[in-house]
Amino acid sequence: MMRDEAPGINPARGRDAARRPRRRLGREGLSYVRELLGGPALGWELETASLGDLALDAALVKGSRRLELRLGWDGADGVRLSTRGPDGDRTEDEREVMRAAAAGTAATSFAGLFARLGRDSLLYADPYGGSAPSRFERYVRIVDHSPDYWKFVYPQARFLEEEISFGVRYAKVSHATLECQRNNAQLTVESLRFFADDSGPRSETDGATYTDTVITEADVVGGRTQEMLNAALERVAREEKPAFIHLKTTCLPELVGDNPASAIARLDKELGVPVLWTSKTRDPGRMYEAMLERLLGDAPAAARGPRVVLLAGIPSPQAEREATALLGGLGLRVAGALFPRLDVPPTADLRSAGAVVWLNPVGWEKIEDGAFLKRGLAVVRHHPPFGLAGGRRWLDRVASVLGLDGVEQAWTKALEPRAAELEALRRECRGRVVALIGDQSDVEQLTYSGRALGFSVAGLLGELGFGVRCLVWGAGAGARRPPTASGAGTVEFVPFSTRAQLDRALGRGIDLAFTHFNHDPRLEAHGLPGFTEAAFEPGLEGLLRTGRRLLRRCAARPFPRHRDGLPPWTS
Amino acid sequence: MDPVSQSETLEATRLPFLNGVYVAVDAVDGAYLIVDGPYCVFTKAEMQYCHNLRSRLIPQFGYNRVAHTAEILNTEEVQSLSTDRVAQVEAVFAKVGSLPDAEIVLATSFDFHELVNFPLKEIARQHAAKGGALVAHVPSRSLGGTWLDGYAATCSALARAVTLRPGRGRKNAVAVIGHLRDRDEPDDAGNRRELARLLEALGLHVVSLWLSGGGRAELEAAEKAGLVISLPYAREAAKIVAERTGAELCEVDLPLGLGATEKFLKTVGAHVGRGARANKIIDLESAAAVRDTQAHVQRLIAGRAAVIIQDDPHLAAGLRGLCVEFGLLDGGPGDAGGRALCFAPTTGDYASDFAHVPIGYPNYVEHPVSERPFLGYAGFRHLADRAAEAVLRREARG
Repeated sequence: MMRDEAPGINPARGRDAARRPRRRLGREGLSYVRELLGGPALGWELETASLGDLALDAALVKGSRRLELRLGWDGADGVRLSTRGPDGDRTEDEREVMRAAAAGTAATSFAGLFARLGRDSLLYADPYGGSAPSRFERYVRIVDHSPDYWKFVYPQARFLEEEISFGVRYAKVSHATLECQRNNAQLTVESLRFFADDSGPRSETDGATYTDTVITEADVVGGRTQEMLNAALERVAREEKPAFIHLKTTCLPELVGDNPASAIARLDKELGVPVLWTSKTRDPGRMYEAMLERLLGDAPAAARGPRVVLLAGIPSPQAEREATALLGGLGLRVAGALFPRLDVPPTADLRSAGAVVWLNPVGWEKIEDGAFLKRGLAVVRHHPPFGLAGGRRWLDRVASVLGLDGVEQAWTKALEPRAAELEALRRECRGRVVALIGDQSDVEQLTYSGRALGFSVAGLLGELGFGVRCLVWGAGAGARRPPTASGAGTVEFVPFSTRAQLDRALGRGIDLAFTHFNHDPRLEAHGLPGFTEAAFEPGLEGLLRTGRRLLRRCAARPFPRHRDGLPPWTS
Repeated sequence: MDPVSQSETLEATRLPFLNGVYVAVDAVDGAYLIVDGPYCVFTKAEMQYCHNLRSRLIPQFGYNRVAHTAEILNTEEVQSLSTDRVAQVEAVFAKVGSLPDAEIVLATSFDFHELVNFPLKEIARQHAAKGGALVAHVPSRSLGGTWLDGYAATCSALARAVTLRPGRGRKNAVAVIGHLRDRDEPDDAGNRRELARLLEALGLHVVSLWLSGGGRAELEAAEKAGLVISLPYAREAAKIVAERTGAELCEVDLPLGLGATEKFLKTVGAHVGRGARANKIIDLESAAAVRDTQAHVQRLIAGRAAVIIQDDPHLAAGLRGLCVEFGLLDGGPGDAGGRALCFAPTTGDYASDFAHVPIGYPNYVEHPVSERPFLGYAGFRHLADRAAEAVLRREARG
């Protein structure tokens, strides 16, 4: 079926492409589209297919020819088939497949088509979550933050593929200058970091060795940098004999034109040491996917159990245990876990697993599921199971994509033993007010379900019983809304438009506020603690832990009787 | 820790040029730095933010004192270097220079920007000629220099750029140039107080300290000094200032430990014709320092091995002298395991192998609330205190 890529790969992926709204077809959707277009019968293969808001874009290939099709809404309830380029330029072969596609789609309703494709579609980034700028764009690339006194929300675009742990026998090689190597505070303790969700070294090395080339001026002037890189790779491959090498090249060597491609090919061929190469100017997602393909190898489809799954995107061992139990309630057995660890024997698990279920796919957008789809596995990739509503939706989705019953029973079984504890927790949370602050866009990010975080901060706080107070900058007096019920708690909206107004609002009955700054002078002026989305965990146990964690923070306000002495931020 | 791994550890502590430039900029009130470089200019500033709890480089919602030229380009840095960036970089200069609290604007380059021959110096020169904030170019050695080179180069650029009128130096007024003011915390405040106290004891008054956290006025007050005392972190800057003002120049080493402090007093004392006074101070203060620390040194510190892991040669030299005074022995193979003292920054987990005394740059784990110098006699007492505490903590862990 496949050519050099799995269906669903977006050929135009760039640095921030992971945050663009992207929805791809699942196993059943791909199969349906293939039939609908009629290409396979005529010798054409489906190369890519992606789902937009009002269109399906697909590409068929045959030999060196490529035909791009769009199935869009025809304005009534039908499907309008279009293709790129003038019709007169088409070969007979292409016209034939167009006729087949037109015949296939003629009797298809647009709503029916999208409902069918949506049944097992894969969510790579929330359709409404890609519009907000990331921390990189909104903070790191900007020098003048003086107008942003109202801004507390700087979400980090996560690239968790960088956290993949491939096992003990691997080596890292960094081709960089000393200036580049020492460009962040990796070894500091997390309390000192600038952003609250940067907590020390992120990569789990698992005993991996580390080699730096440390390029100097003399190396550049002497034209030795390529030689240094090749020598480093060669030495590591021969002496350390790793299972593979992860090579990172950086700005300077790429500027001077260093290219390890031939050395990589030679090491693979002569020593059998594959090299995963990530760089500043190349899409890292494809590199990781190529490595994933290699690790997975070829697993025969016949032995797969329809009730055996692999769990992917594991944020913590506790979350894995709880998700495993929840899936068990649906009659599913978890045969193994993938991402961030990939050092399990994957081929053995793949032989028994019939599906991959993503627990928390947020941050893993660069890893696409082509490798699994290619081997015939179903994939469930949707919003993560945060909180009560989110957990239930996740379970519903798993059951729906995999064709299972028993969601109600499984959910009740999970919920009942925790109900009393949740209610007790809610009684404590009801006395606390949590502030979410920002402009309308920031507050929407924190209040709407999904979006960039995969869950609604306000929604989960409400489920826990907290009072949520949204302080909205520049919204005008009409935006004021008194507290109304939200879950077991309340939500209210208070506009502000000056520093003084914000400061006064922070001093009025707030116990905790959302901020991405680790030490926020605006909050510290009132002795207020902060929190981020990192405080939240998926699952029901995770929800209880989250509630207890936030309550502890509410109680941790220093200088209870001497806050007048705290330095003001408004001067 | 064997000698090989010790040398590898030393390698791991090495910091590059820009880190030192950042430290210097953080030590001058009203100073801004424009780095022709990518967004990592920001992440690098976080190292100083973690070392200095009162760092002013990256305020949460103000104006970053370290600006980068990539802010104006929406493309990958490597690719952007092939475009004409002059107008965009000039706009960054204009923006930074117009800020109300910008007294000094410095400019330098990130490593790969250093290679492409961008006319940063010329842009800096043009903006310097416009008046307003002082603008100076710091020639980049980002590809080869160390952080101490970066600190010294920044001081040299300041020494060339600030207003210094000749012939205004006063007798007994001194400018101390080449102090490493790495953070606005009480360890440095203690060092500055101790330096001033030692010089006051010789009848000298410090009118300008480079760098100290003061702004342009503090730097330009150096013209009032009849004597420039050159500390090791900015030798060239001290020479430039002395040449420009016509002041005398006296080079001294870092007064860390009893011997080095005595040498400091004797050298300065001899230079100003007060050698006898220096000897009297030494007799008095050295004896008192020994009395105050003898129990700590003799009961807890002496006789152990010591390992010094520092990429700062001036600090390392001072610590070597201190170790001799403490009765510590050269560390060697087999000294890891808890008994040995280690004087190192916090770039590695030295506490698991040694009784670790965090000292040097960066120091992420210690942020004193009260003054805690390591220079002069006061510093000697504090170092004895800290070494003894490190030993006891390590022993208590078993």
